[in-house]
Amino acid sequence: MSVDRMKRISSIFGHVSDARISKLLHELDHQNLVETITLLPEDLKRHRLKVKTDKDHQVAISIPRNIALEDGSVLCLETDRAIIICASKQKWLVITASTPALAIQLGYHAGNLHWKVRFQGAELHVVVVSCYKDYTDRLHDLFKPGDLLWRKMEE
Amino acid sequence: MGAARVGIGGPVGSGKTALIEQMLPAFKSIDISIAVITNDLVTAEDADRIRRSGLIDPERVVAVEAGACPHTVIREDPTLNITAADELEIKFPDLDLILIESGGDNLASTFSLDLVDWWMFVIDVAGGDDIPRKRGPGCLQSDLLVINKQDLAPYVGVDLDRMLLESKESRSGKPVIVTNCRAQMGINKIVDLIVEEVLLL
Ligand SMILES: Nc1nc2c(ncn2[C@@H]2O[C@H](COP(=O)(O)OP(=O)(O)O)[C@@H](O)[C@H]2O)c(=O)[nH]1
Ligand SMILES: [Mg+2]
Repeated sequence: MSVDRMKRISSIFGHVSDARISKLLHELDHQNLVETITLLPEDLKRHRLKVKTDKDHQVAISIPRNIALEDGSVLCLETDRAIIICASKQKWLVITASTPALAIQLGYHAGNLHWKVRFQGAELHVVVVSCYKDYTDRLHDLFKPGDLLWRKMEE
Repeated sequence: MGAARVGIGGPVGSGKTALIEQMLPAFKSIDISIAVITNDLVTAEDADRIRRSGLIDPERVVAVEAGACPHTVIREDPTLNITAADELEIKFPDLDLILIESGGDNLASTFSLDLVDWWMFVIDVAGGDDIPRKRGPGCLQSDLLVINKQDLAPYVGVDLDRMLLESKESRSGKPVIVTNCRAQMGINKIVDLIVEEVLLL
């Protein structure tokens, strides 16, 4: 346990979109003093976590439950150091069914599998946690070739 | 900041309550102030068992009766559990850690991060060594996978080494710990991990 060397964060200082903060960040960045923590989209919901910055420094984050980490959250802003959160892209599996009957089945199975989804016209967008294969394997089990079309998307 | 909240999920009978009973003295020995929330369908069976164990002040054990699907109260609508945890924090301001045992579920159960900071999924060797290969969300997404009842492996014809390897392969680097709650095996590893990763000590 490297207690002394670990930076501890107990609140969120601000956001990169704040004009005053962004100016200071810009200056620090010129001196290579801005560190980034990259989090998976699902990990933004956490309130306690131990992570590393891109400069390999350990950070222990423990923030109140009523505030949330965001892409662009500034965890600390000091004269010689800033730490910001960067969310990696969300992976989506975009699925279309070839007939209305198959679309109904797809909806049923997605619900039964507790997938997180959103609807976009005729497409079902499924949130992919970890890897695409866990999702496409299920579709292969449940549907025949040609029943569905799917593609990967990140945003 | 309030107490850290750790979820313990997994199929019925895999050893979740047994694991809590093993962890309580271990946390006590390092002065971690702790409380437990159990989830049962319509009874307080697990809570009563922990209260009777003498390992913890019975006041610090709360039963949440899910009434319906046990996974609903840890994932879709964890309000009952969140309220129970909030109340424990008010009643015991010194709390460092709240353990939340799920009512027992299938391999698909996961915890909402609105409820817990970190969660483990407990399976056991007697459930079969093909469980990791089934790639259930509990095994894949949990922060820690526990394979319990190590002692039973020879009796149920399970190749534990292979089960461990396959579990690790499917979890992209996230930890897997083998335990035997009958012999305190592996318990300290779990406690150490919680201390490091969640209590941030
Ligand atoms: N042999 C053996 N039995 C265990 C172990 N852990 C738990 N058990 C037993 O398995 C049964 C179910 O355990 P329990 O903790 O109630 O499971 P839960 O439903 O997941 O809470 C009980 O009879 C326990 O004594 C273990 O490591 N080895
Ligand atoms: Mg139990």
